[in-house]
Amino acid sequence: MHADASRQLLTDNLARVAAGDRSALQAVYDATSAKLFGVVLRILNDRSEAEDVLQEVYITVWSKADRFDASRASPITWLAALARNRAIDRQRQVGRRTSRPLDEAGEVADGGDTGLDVLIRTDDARQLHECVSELETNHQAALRSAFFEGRTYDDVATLHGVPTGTMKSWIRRALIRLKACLQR
Amino acid sequence: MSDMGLGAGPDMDPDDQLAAEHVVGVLTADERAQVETRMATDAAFADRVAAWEERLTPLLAEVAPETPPRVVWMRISAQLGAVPRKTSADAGLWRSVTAWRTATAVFAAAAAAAVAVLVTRPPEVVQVPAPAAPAAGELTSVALLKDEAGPTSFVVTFDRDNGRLIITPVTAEADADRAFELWLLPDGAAPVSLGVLNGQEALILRTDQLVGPNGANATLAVSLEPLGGSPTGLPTGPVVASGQLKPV
Repeated sequence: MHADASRQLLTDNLARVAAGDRSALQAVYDATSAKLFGVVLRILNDRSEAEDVLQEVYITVWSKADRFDASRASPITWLAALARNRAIDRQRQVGRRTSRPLDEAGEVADGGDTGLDVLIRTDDARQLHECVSELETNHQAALRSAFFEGRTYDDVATLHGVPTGTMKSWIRRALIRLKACLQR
Repeated sequence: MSDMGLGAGPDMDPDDQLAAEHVVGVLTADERAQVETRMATDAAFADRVAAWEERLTPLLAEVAPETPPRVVWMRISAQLGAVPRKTSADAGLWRSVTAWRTATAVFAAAAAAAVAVLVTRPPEVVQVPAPAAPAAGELTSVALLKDEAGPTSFVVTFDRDNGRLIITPVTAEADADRAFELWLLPDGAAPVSLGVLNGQEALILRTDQLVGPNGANATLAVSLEPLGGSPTGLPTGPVVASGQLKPV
């Protein structure tokens, strides 16, 4: 399906969820749960915790779908932010289960397209990917492990074997350059 | 700034930096709580966070999707009916009620009447013994009944508000000549049969027997029994799943 059509369908389904339509919630779940489970699993590194968080995410979608404002955010961004925030908050409570080898941090999904991928593999994703790849290698790796795994500055500094102050500087510079690159 | 000559660009606006750090996910639990509070009160800051979410979310295209186990949707589905939800219409009504309240004492009385109408339950009156004042938020309990030794599992949702207990089979296959029977296991007393399931359809029960001081934390078990249920009124076959309700 074309990205715009998928996005519109998801937006429409969220509006139906807000009106209390359970089948619409199931449609949202079917279209997005594999992607969001991958996202929260990466942050928590524990299937049981990730399943609990995923359940919380869709219960929150059910109860708060009326807060989604299609004129202010894309439905993907709204759902992904909800899932990432829940997962990161949970990770701050329970800790990350075991550390994952660094070389998996930048792993790129191949195949297994889900509805959500159709939505985010767009020009935005390509442009962001290009901008990230222009960052210095160690800044890029640091930003990736922070973003994909929801690690704190201290944690990601330890992972990369640098002082926390250095890590803050790497990631902040990376963010400045990213923002500038995306505005080009 | 001195950074400029190095090609790193100027420092970021502190608010923009904080918003970006929140979205990347590098802040501590305390810092995250502060950011959440600020987002709720500072619209300009919330907009900065939203802008960074839009910028960075496309990176998630790189995360491999992973199909969650079916039990997750079953749990969500079982929980839906019990989750209180406010639609925009409700929110609007509440806002207007609030407005009346602040207007005059006369309107305040009218508003109180409106609230009374709003909180009146649907006219489905079940014989429910008055429980010992359930704490707010304890109107719903859920349990996953399972057994480490086998694949059988059920999801149970106790909706005290509506006096319903909903048992949904997740993985449950019985021989053609056997049925699943659900039991309440009271502390220090014999199991109480709650009903018989076929393993394919959800069973919805009135919860008169469960409602009590410990209803929201009841322990439940499922045994394999002859079709139609245990002939003795007590479990006769193996227990294939068990678990305890927990308030959510």
